[in-house]
Amino acid sequence: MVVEGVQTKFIESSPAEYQVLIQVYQDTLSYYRADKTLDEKTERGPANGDIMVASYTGGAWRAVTVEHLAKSR
Amino acid sequence: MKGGWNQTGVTVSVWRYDANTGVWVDAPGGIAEDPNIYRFEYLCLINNNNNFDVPCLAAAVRCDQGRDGRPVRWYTSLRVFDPPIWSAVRPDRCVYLEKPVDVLGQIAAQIQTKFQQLPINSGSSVTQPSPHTLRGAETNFYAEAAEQTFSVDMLGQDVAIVARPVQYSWSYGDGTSLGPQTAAGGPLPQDRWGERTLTSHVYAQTGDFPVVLTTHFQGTYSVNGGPPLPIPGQGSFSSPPQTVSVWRSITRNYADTCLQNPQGQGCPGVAPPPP
Repeated sequence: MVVEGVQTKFIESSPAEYQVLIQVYQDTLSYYRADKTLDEKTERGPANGDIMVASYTGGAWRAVTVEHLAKSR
Repeated sequence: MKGGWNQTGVTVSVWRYDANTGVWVDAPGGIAEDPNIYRFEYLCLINNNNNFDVPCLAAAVRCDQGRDGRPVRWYTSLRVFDPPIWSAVRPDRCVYLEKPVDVLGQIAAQIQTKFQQLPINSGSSVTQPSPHTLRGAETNFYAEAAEQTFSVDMLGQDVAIVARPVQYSWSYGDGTSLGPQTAAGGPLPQDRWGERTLTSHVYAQTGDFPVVLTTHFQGTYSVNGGPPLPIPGQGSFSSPPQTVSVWRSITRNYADTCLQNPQGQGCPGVAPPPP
């Protein structure tokens, strides 16, 4: 996965929860068989917009939710 | 987008930006505003001066669905990024100056009508003997029609149409007709005039008869030098009427020459006998 950009306004959407917008794309993938021959190489995917809801509790960040903003095309 | 089944059907919710609170809300229902923005760039442009790199175009996606198609690469970015973070969207696509139409399909739909409206020369009917023939004798008719080629413009495309004569019909002018049939007939040498042929006709009455030849053409067409495609149906083209005069012959035998008997039948100045 390649992260192209990340953005947050640090607005509390609920107590101690913040939203992060992430633009990522799936780079090409190569699948190899046990005998090291190439089975399949996939193409690079289009960029997806994802949202991560993160909370800061107990001195650590946790991801509460990570989802696509819209159904991937 | 999230979805799940419940008793009344599908519940769908989408992440939507709420400008009032500045947060993304997981709101029920509806189509979300697209969280992305898009733009495209022309491929194969040289220095952005409106000249296209021809070898590059040849290797790019083919844009032949309409007029002035150009390959482009689309980019997308999340709307929230300022400045946008542009990410290429593959595969490459095309842009056109006009809404693309299926021009070949439209030509295919119009070609039959176009074919039947072409100024195709029906050819001519030749009569043997001519211009006079005899009642009760075999009169030989044959058609002289040739393959013809036309170049026409349809929907801005160069369309070459070839018309080939395949069938012939004769209307002999005395209420009878022949065909359509494939025999065009052919000329007879003069010493064989009066023989029965595939296309000959016997007139039972004397008089002047308008003979019309109708030639049936099959066509093929090719668009912009492409492969020839058959045109459905046939085009029928008729010649202008040609008059055939049918005479009768009566044989009379005389014992004398006109020198011996100047008043004899058939001699100069002698009235013919009543028919």
